[in-house]
Parts: sequence; structure tokens; C-alpha cells
Amino acid sequence: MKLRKSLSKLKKDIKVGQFLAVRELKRNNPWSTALIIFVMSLTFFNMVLMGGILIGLADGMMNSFKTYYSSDILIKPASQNVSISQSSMLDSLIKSLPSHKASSKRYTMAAILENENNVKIKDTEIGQRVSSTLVGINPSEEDAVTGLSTQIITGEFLNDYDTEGVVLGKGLLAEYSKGSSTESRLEGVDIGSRLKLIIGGTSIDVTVKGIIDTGNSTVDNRIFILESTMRALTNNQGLNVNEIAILLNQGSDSKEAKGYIVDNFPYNSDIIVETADETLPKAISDMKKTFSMLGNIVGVISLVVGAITIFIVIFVNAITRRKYIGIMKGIGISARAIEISYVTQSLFYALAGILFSSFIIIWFLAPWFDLHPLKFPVSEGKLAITTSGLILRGLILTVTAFISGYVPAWMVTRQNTLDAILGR
Amino acid sequence: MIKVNNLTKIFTIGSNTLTALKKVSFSVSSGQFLAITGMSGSGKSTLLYQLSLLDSPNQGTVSIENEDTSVLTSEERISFRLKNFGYIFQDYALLPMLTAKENVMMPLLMQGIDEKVAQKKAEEALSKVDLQDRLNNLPSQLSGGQQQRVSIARAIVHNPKILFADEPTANLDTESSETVLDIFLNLHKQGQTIIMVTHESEYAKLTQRNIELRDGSIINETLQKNNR
Repeated sequence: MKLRKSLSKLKKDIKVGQFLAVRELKRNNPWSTALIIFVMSLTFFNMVLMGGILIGLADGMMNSFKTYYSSDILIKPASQNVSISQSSMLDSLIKSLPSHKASSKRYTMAAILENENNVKIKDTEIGQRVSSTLVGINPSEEDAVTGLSTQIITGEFLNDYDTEGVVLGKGLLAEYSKGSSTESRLEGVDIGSRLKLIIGGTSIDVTVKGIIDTGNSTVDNRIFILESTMRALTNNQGLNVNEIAILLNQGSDSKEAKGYIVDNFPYNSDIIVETADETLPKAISDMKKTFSMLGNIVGVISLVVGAITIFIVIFVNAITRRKYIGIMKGIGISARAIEISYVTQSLFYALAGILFSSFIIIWFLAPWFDLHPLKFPVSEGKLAITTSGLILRGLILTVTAFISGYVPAWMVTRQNTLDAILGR
Repeated sequence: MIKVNNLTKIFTIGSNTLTALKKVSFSVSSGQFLAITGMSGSGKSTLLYQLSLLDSPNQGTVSIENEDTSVLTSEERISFRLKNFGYIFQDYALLPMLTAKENVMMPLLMQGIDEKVAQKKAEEALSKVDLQDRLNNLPSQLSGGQQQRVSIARAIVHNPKILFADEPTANLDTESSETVLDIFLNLHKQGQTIIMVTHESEYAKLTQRNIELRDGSIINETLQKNNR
């Protein structure tokens, strides 16, 4: 009975509170309302955007690492081995994986690329020689796994007959990576340039066929060549490779696939099988954690600014209407109904700000960042925003607005009714 | 209906104390139209605030229909006022963001009455004070007299047991003041209990009973012959 009475009173208070709030909002100066909503929008932007950009940068690094280098699973020789033992047997096992979509075997070796056409003035001169990792690939297999052909920024990707052709990562060329590295890069090299490729004591002349830009520094500092050319160059008669990248069907469990390989490959102690997450350099995952933390710190600061804004707006509003609050109490309107009125107003400001900025973010900013990612030396930065992230931040701002609206209203409604009416 | 017993109100300002009401006792029966008069500073408004539960006395009690109001909490006082009182302020005290009709609807909504019903009752109350053509005007769009009539409509819309009026004609011209008094007299004829504070003796004479205060004490009490 008592509960029912309380609920009935609460219902009345909510009804009257909303009635007052709606009229107050409707008859407020529209410019003031617009300004408060604008401040709330900026608060929400700050909460979402800064964190989104920072995490997007880390995500960009992780994604490009996975997409263009490791794929879903990367197999490497164990530390005591140079190459993967029984690569053919392993390749057959990989292809028997139920979730297997594509795989690429890579031969890797340290190499030097030299641009003989540039006249050397000093031995240390930038642009004449560059050390790199030479990667021998089957172009169609590699493309099926990493889609490298889509990342060609000039020229073409390798085909099965490009016995003298190479594809270079943009990080090796001065013209394509200005200011992004302090390491030596070749100057004056473009599509069709003839370069000398030196492996140990052997060298051949190669032609630059294409230049790739994946946004991943590991891949963008590699030289790609046909596996047949590389094996001929290194006089490698065996079929043992140095890396195998495996792409799984979408939605497949990479840990399960890894387990399948480890469990079924008899020479599993000679190899290291890693999922994309395990392959990630620790620096990248640490960076993501740091960026998340920085994003959250910026978000919290924005939240505090937003909370103070709402508090001031409601407090000033309540203080300047202290007399009317007294009158309302005088004619029998409960303090709770008045508090609900102010809380409703602050919730309106916050929700309008959230909706406005969410609209801008979802319909304009996120697509814009997708089309024009921020170019960082280590990766491309897109806006990392998820629906759940938006909802969570929206909820946090809403709760903050609730508290920031309630506290000043509570402070003012608790004052003596007669003092409020008489302005004492 | 209202029984005031030994009511004392003391204000403390710094180290000074001012006794605004000194052991005031009287009673008001149901349906009576009472005027509280006196010079400025005599304690008449202070007395009204105690009677209408807007303030609490230091000593003494106010009983309304045998209920001791001194035991009520702050929230209970608000609820008691809503249920039993109508209040007319000297400066009208209308809520500026609400139209005339919305101002009058407030006590009804607070009582849990449906919005449409409240609208209808508010329109009827405003008709009683001859403001049926000003329903949707904001207070800023009304004259002082019209605002006071809206205030009266708001005070009577929920049929309160007691109507309190604090110098309701103080800010009005003669014509508007007479209109307000006519409304009060009509309400009184319908059986409404009214307690009005005024410093204008000619208006006090129109009431049924007059209590005159000086320095916080009742110095004179008269019953008008021309009223019931």
C-alpha cells in the first residue's frame, strides 16, 4: 500500500517535472539552447574522436600487420632453424585445414639493392645502396593471402613470368617515403629502373616493376621477387621455405586452426605457429594499450568539462529562478517534481548533443576518415568507433548530465521556501 | 477550522532579535472572510506565513481542522498546502515560462489530475475571473490586474479549503483592486474561507472580520455588520 502510494506520487512528480521542463525548453532563448547543445556535442566529440583516432592508429597498425604480413596464421622456423623443415608436408597439412582459404610460402633472405646509375660521391651517400629483406613469392598465392596487388601505388604487381622483375616497398625509396625514416633509401628509382640485387657474393640485375604502400613498415621495407628467380639466385635446390602465411575463411577460429597444425605436424618442434595477435610485435600491442589509455584520459577530461558546463547552466538557471522555485513549493509543487524538471532539461541537452554529434560522426566523419585516413609514418589512422563504444560513451555522458542537473536543482530546492520567495 | 494558539515568531539578525509575533491566539471558522490589517512591520505578513505553513513559528501551534501542523515535515507541508490551501501573492508570483492556463493547471497536475481535465478546469477557473480570452498568454503579456486574476484562478482551481491572500491589491490600480475584491466577495458568498492581509482599511471593511496587529500583537478585532 505504502509502495503503491510512493509510486503514484513519483508518477505525479515525473509528469509535473516533465510538464515544466518541456515548457521551459520550449520558451527558452533558442540561441542559448543551441549553444548548450553545441557544448554537449563538443564534449561528446572529444570523448569519442580523440580516443577513436588514437585507437584507430593502433588498430591501423595491427590491421595492416595482419592483412599484409602475417595474415591469420604465420609459420616461421624455430629459432635454431633457418628454414621450415618438411615445408611440402606442412603445405599439404595446411591445405587440409577445414578453414583454409589461401596460403603463401615465402623464401626470405637478407639482400642489398644498389642503384648503379646514381654516381656515388661518398660511400655513405644516401640513395645508392639499401639493405633489405628479399622475399621470394608465388605472386598469385601471395596475392590471394595478402592482396598485395591492391596496394601497388605505381607500376604493376609481379606475374609468373617476371623473372627479372621486383616489387619494392615504398620504404626503400627516397621519393616515396620522404621524412618517414632516417635509414638509407634509394634515390632516383622509379618504375623501369634497373637495379643490382646482391645476395652474398652473387648479384643480378633486376627491373622495378611496381611499388607498394601497405602502411606496414615490415612489408614496406621488403623486396619481392619471384620464388623461382630467388631460388636460382641462391642456388636453393630444396623446397623448404622461411615463412608461410595462411588466410582462413571468414569467421574461422585461428586458435583452432593453429592447434590443428601443431597437433598434426610431426616436426612441430621445428616450427613456430602463431596467430595474427601472437605475431604482433609487443610494441604495437603496448602502443594500443597506451593509446586507449590516452583516449580515455582525454575522454574523462571532456566529461568533466561537460559535467561542469551542465552544472553551471542548471545552477545559474535554478539560482536565477530561486524565487519561482519557492513559489512552486508554495503552491504545492513537490521539490522532487522541480528536481525532475531540471534533470529532464539537462538530459535533453546531453541527449540532443549526443544525437547531433553521433549523426555527424556516423554519417560524415567516419566515412570521411575511411576515405582519407590520417597518414602516420608507421601506419594509417582511421576512426576506430564501434556502436557499443558510442553507446557506452553516450550512457556515461547521460549519467553525468543526470547528476550535473540533479545536484544544483537539489541544492536550490532544499532552501527554505519562504526565503526563496522573499529573496532572502 | 483554524486554531492559532500562543503563536510566537522571533527573527534573529546577527546578535539582535526581533519578536514579530507575540503569543498570538485566535481561531477562524469555516467559510469566514478574515482580514489581517496593521501598519507596515506590524507582523501581519509574518502571521500569514505561519498560518499558510510557509514558515514555522518559534513557539505556539497552528491547528487546521484539528490537525497540529507543527509536526509536519517540509515535504508534508508542501503536500498539505497543495491539498488544503490556495495562495495569492502580492506580486502575483506566476511562473514566467507558463501561459495563464498552464499556470492555473499546475496545482491540478500536482494532484495527479489528467492533463486534459486539468486544462478544462483551468479554463473554467480563468472564466470565473473573466480571463477566458487570455488563456494562452504568458504572464509578461498580461497587465498587473490580469496577472493577479490568473493568480486567483490558480489559487482556487483545486477548490482549497482556505484561500490565503497576501496584500493582493497592493500592486494594483483602484479598478483592478475592486475587481479582485469582487472576486473574493463572490468566493466568500460561495462559502470559501479567505484570510487576507491588507493595509488598506477600506478593503478590510468589506470582509467579515478584521484582526488588527501592532508590534506583533492583536490590538483590535472587529466583526463587520454588512457581512455574514
